[in-house]
Amino acid sequence: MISISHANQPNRIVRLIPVRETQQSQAGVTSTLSKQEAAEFYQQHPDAGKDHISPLEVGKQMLTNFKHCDELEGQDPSLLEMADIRDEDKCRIGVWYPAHGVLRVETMETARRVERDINEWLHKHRGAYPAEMGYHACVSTGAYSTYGNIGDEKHPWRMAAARYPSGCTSAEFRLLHTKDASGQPDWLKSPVRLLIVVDLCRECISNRFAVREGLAQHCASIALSVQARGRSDRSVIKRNEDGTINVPPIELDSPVVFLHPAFNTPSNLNAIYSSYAYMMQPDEYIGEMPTLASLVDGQSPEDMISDEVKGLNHHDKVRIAKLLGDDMEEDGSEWPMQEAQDEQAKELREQLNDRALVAIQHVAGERIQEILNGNDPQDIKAEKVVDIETSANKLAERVTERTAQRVLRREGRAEPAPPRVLQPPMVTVYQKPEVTEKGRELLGLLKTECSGQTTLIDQLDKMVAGQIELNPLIETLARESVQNARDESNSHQIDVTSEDERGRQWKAKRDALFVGVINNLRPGGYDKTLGNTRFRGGYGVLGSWQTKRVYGVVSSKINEVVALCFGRQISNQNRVLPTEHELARFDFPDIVPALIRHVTAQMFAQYAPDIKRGLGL
Amino acid sequence: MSFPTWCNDRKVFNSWIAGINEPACAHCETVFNLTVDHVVAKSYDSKLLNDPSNWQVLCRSCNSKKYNLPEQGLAHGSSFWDKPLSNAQLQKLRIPQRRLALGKPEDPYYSDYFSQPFYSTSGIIYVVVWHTGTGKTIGIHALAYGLNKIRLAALGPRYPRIRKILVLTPKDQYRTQLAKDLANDVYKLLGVTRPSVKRASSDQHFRNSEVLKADIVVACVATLNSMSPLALADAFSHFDLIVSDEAHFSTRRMSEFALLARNSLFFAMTATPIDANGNPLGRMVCVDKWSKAEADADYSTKSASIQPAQLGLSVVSSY
Repeated sequence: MISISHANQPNRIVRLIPVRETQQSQAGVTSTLSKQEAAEFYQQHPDAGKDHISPLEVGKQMLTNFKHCDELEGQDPSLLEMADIRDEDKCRIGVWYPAHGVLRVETMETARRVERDINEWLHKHRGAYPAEMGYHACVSTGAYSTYGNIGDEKHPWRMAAARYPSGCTSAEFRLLHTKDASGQPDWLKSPVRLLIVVDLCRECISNRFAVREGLAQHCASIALSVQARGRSDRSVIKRNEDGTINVPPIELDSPVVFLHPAFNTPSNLNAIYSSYAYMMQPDEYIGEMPTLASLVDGQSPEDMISDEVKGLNHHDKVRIAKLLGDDMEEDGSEWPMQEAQDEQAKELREQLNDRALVAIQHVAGERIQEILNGNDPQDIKAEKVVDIETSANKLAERVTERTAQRVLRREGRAEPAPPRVLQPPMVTVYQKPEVTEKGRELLGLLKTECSGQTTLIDQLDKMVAGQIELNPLIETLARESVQNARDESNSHQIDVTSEDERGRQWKAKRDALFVGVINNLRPGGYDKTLGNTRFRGGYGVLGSWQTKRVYGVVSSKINEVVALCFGRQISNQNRVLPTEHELARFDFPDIVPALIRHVTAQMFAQYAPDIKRGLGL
Repeated sequence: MSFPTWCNDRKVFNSWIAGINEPACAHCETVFNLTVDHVVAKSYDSKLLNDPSNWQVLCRSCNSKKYNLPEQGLAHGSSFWDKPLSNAQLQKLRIPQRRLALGKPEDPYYSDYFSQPFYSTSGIIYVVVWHTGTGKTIGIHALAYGLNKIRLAALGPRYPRIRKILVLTPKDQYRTQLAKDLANDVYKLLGVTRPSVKRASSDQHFRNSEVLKADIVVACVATLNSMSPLALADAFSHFDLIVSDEAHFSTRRMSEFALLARNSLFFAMTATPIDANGNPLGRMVCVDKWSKAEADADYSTKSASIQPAQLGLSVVSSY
């Protein structure tokens, strides 16, 4: 049975609170809204669903469902239901396996945020979601992510299914769980049951233990939906020697798609339904496709040329339109603009279709010839030139001075750019009027645990001296504060690079108290555009629990961070780049300890005299 | 075809070449990289060096293989997929795989059609539409076993059959995985020897004799995108069967590749030969189908017996 489940209870709509409205992760805030209220809400918040809250809700719902499936094991099989397609005489319930699932989200930034939040949530509820049962979320970015190649059978998400293709009990599944030296779960070697992806796990990657899918992205393509749904369609059964077959109960034997109301769009639903319709009856979609019989009966490949337009490029389509337009202009016929119900318009459209077919066949024939000859016809080149000129004119209207300089330099008409010099860490100050409720709570805890300035100043000294003490409270506080500060920072940024200005600013903030470090990855991650410096690097934060303000953020660029952590620099020239695996360490939650240990000590060692002088110490 | 350095009489050569209507390799019928070969090798009889009646057109590859032997030296050697699968091995295959490995005996057109010369059936994408996760990796081997079975039965060992396969993957990251599976899965499942599988990650690999010796070469479409049409045609000429995995990616390029593979069969394996709106892709001929409903019958899929139309638009599960 296919079920399409909303992430929450029936008749309830999750009220989404965008991040920038509350400046904190209010993942758990839900309320019952009527349809009218929901419509108004989405009108007021058109970005709902684009943030990380919707996928987070879906992910939690999937995990809850995994737990429900786990609890089925050990129950009396006679009380459990078998799937409709299973023959009751031949099959009996006797196969178990831990349900796995794929959560599909819109962007990699969302995926990382959801991964972090879900893992934190799971960590808080370890009693209900034990680590040995694989309750962990991991993001898969491509071939070689933190967790390895997704196609590899040793990938945490595929590990259990590869090891036990005929299903496994909870006891067997727990055996796969490994711990690192400190006794913590080693998620690179232990099974992980929730995989968060953007566009992976469609082609070439199957996991028969995957039985739940969370959809928190827009996907209207039927082909992609079939590929996505079909990946988890392989059954987990065990054939016995006596001819009987052990099958799982219906919950583990039927796929479920979890759909958040924010993605409950007609196009998404249509793609889901159509994908199952295609899987069950593909003839309805590809029934007209030529077969060997039709070829033998005399249908030549050229007869299929009308379909070739789907494979034609933009220039070919332009040429088809031009041919069609010329043809119509010669005849003086007009484009039918009336509604399709009009008989005359229908007739005109049919004529138009015939003419279009002639044009398509002409262009497709030329295209084939062009491919066979291995060169482009001259007229295509001429059109390309025209197109390039047109687009160049359009671009010229938008071009900025900086871009113009770059273009001129490339063409040798301007002075070459000065050589790039690695800048020292820039010191900026972010002014923030308020901290969030979460921040207040943490500040309260901080006040209790670390009362007075002395403790933290000591800690600063320790950091400067390299005697780092990890304080999770400070880390969390710093993370929250920087996140908030970063969101509002751009409009309040004050450059204090000059010595006097810096001194004045620091003097005013002598009650700066807490110190933390955070990384700052811009959307898009590290996978593609490292050379384009989409990394910003690390932050050191100074703030006060008395005034409840974040005062100082010391930022470093990724070049320094990498240089400090790995002893080498990012450079496009000599191609000395850290591997993705190394860079993955910079992401949450691993970034905080790494930066605390390596970067902060270095940065604060450099700036400690300034800071202390500014604070009047 | 350029003037050979060993020839002393340019006029004789020009008149001979003018008399050939469409120059093509006399053995493999390719039209690329052509050379002039001596039917009786010049090392045996130097008087026949400039005798046009002793000349024939061969491609460089076939000319090298022929060496100084008579034409029998070019008989097509053995292939990994020559030995038909036993009944025990066939029983290990899934239903659609078994169907292909046997050469689709229930299809009256299949064996006749694919017994034709490769050049007369090229230029078309033959698509195998199987449900996702149905075992297309083994399916590639099953396809080659079936085609060789047909061609050996109909034509005998003197005629070309599937000896080398080029497998195209849509993304670079699947190439390694597929190459590993192609080598190991058939060995584990059927107990046959492992085929030699090489990966081609640049156009130079298609000129590397070590790579071209392999039974199967796996390449990414992106690798081929950097090659000129001539280089592509030359590369394709080394393979009797080209299989595009997940061919719904870059269908336009697939059409071009099929046109350039003038002496090879071009197969595509995908569960979805449709575009985003569900329309069938062009220039494809469906040769085999295996839907989820059929796969349900052998218990290999999860339950999806309810038709989507019955679900309505506001179905909420009991979970």
